[in-house]
Amino acid sequence: MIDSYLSSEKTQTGIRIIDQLLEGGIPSGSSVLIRTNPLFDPFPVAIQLLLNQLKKGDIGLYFVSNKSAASVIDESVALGTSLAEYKQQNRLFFIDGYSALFGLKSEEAYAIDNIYDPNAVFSVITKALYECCKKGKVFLIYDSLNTSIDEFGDAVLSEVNNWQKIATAYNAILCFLYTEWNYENTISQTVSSLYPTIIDLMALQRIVGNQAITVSKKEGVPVKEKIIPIKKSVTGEIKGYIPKILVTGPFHAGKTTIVHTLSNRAVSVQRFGTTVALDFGHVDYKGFNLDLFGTIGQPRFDPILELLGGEALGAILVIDSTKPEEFPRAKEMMLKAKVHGLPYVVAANKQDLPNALSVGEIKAKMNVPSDVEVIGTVGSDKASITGALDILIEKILNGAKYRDD
Amino acid sequence: MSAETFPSGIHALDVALNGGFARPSNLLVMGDPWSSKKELGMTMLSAGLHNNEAAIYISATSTAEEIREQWLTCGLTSALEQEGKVKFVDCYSRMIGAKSSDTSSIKRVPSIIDYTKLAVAVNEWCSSFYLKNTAVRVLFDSLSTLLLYSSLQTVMRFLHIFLGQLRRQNVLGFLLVEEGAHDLLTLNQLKSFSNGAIVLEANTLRCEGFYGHPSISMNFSLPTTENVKQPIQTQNISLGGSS
Repeated sequence: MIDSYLSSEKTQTGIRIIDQLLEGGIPSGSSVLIRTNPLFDPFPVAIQLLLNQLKKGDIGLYFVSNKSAASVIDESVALGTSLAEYKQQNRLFFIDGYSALFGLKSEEAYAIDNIYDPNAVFSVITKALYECCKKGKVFLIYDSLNTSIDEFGDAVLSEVNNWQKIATAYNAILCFLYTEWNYENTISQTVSSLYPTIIDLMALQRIVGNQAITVSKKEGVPVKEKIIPIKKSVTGEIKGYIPKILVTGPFHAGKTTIVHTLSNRAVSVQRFGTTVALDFGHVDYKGFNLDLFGTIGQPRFDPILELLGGEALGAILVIDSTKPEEFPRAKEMMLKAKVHGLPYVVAANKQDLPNALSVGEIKAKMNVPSDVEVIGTVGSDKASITGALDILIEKILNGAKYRDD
Repeated sequence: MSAETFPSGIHALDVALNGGFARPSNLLVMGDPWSSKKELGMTMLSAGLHNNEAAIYISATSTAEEIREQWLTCGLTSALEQEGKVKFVDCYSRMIGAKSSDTSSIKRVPSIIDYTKLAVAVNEWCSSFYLKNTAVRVLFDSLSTLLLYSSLQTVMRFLHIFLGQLRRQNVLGFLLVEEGAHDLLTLNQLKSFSNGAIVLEANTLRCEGFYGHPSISMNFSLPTTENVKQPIQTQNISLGGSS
């Protein structure tokens, strides 16, 4: 069965960091497990995934077992989205496995009258899945797998296989929400083996940016899990998050220009056109949120370099390509900011000036390590700067922690 | 070595416990219906507020607004609220279809069986106080409601993680339990997750299982609406009594 995912096309989720980790998206006609630890709420991410597919014209199907369908709609509004309109247009259907818990009559398209009878529950879900698949491409949110496991044990896990077959036949995507609540090993292992794609969302105790994402299984094959810090917006959208990149270098090398060129918004504390405290810029780039901290170049401010460099995950060392006499000062600043040893790139700036040294000449004169890239830049030319940023992000991610490290 | 203790709000109990409760602790507050568990819990939260601690009330049977009204008769004051240290996790409003939204002091959880949302909401409040070095008391009202809708195993699985998280954040937790609503096995399982129990019977308050202390038994009465500003009245303390 897993082989069928290898050749299938992928469905972009619309959440860039997930699509990047899955190399294009979730294989169509398959299922995905969104697994969280108990301190991460997967709901906003699930809503975002569902909404993105609804916008593409897919049919949404939402199984609720631990909250009412109305509360899903209400919470989607609180997240700044509107699932209600899709429900009104008969493009989003709920399978209500909740109302009967309180003896309430359900008004949803698919209602489960006896939530304690696994056959009754599974048959309604199967019926809903079949019927909706005949209407169009289906994206199902199963919220939550925990409630079903708590009630029916591993019987639900056997049923997941049947639903996956329907998904494969009709090119649907099934997305199961699951929180790791200290289940027996057999349950956890069965859950892990069932799904061809597993995305883990975690709240971490001690990491810069305390939430992270990893993909632990892709197209049926376990993969080494690279943990990427993420930031979740109020709308549930998640982005890769690099909370601090230091931009440092000698006086007048062009740090402030580079911070402002890269940033969606930036501020500088300046006096007479010279930075006297710091530059700060926020960058929203290729599914990542980054914060840039630019240092002061003048030596009299060196005592605050270490402060600015604290907790940085990487650095852009900016040098003036026309002033080789300042290259030693550039290296000294890296040491004083205590970022030497972190991933960094050298932005050989002012390449548009006639007497600028070439990248090769700069690399030789600075004697930078062979794995450190020197990129020719022009401070006001965004394309040249983003080239340096691309390399730095890649370096930081390659140095990211793996789960077993 | 004597650990730091925190006042319970009941003077005689603090004397018997050498100053009050240790933290982190998760304490069961047990008793039959109408035995004033909730009022006692509110009093203990209020004692924390007067001690510059924060208070988080998890409500599974009433809305946050209803709880607040009741709490105002059990030690909460507008002045304490304005300090921003009183928070609610309301697991009830959405269950009954109320359209109330979150506020700066109230997080609404869709239902009492949405354990992930519940744990995340409590953790967010606790973390925010922890980062400010503010000690926190949490009152869970009540575990019996959890057991009404989920199996014992499911609830225990949840509590194992949830209470561990509270301990890690140095929280003093009070967990209300309707004693007569559960069998002995369930009560013993709940006790195994706690650091002690305060049992209310008629006009008697009994403490069990507190490390380093014999069982403590005392008569007590809650303040009436006419004398709400008075502390809980206690008398006739006996140590090493019934357990």
